[in-house]
Amino acid sequence: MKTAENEAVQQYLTAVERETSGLPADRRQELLADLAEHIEVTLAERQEQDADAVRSVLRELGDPRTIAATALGETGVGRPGPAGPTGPTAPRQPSARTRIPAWITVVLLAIATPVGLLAADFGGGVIASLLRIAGVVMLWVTLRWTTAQKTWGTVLSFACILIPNLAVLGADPVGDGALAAVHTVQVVFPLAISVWLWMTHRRD
Amino acid sequence: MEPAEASNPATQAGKAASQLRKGVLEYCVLALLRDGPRYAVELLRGLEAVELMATSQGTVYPLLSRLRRDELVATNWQESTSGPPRRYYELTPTGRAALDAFAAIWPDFRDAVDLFLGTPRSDPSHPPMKHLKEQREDR
Repeated sequence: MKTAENEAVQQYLTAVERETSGLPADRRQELLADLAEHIEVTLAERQEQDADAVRSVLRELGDPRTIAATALGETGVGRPGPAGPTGPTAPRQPSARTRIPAWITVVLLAIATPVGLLAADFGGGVIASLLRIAGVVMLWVTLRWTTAQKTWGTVLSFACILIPNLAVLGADPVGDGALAAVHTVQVVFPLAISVWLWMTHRRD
Repeated sequence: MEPAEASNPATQAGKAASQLRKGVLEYCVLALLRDGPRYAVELLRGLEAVELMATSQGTVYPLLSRLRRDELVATNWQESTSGPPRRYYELTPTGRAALDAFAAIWPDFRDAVDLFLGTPRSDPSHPPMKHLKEQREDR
């Protein structure tokens, strides 16, 4: 596809994006990805891929405003009043999970290392790991974060524990200073992740 | 001239068709998947083959998104010999159950509407076309 045609597609997608500002971010991205895929597939299945072909593909796809209105109707966002989110088209299945509060995840991830350190004489490492795994499970079970946020939260939660541990793996015995540094990182970073998750979680 | 436009039979027919389509479109999509997985552009072609179900293509994607979310369909990407990979849709057991439930009540529903309209299909003394014609002549 030439640049001019590419630009027409971009303009179309930008128009859809502009008209769907009322959609939740993930729904909006999903719709844009679906439409982009449609354009790509339809064009690939045509004989010509010139400006005329692009124009007709976009015309058949329809007015961005109509698509936006349908999308808003599907999510219930467009409907005013209490009927909106509980309307017949509201997603049925996740209702129980949406009620799980965000603070459970945030607190579990924040306290894992401190509790582990306090209980160092009673298998603290195991306790910390269990709390952290519980936190990550809750992060994925609750519907308060996007998949991208959940992925980052999970990766960073484990990375900020593992990386300091690996850094001092060779040293035996580990110096007091190094150990303090490792523990500081393992307390402060999860705390920072918890703060970030708390700031970004989806509110009702 | 708005009142004239509102009573225009073509406009009214379009409105009625659009309302009805809204209600049944998702079941038509599920029905198109009954015999196996299809990708979105194929589904659209299937709908467009029947004029009454033809709709602005883009409006089907929010519907597909909801079917995915409600787990009535599952999707997976497959490479294609021509062009980009396609996302194939397939019925989940829940989706098949929803389709079967719809198929079970649809005949009763259709008969009920016919009953109210007074156009029983099995009654030759009252052919639907004649009925409509009489009404038009009354005006």
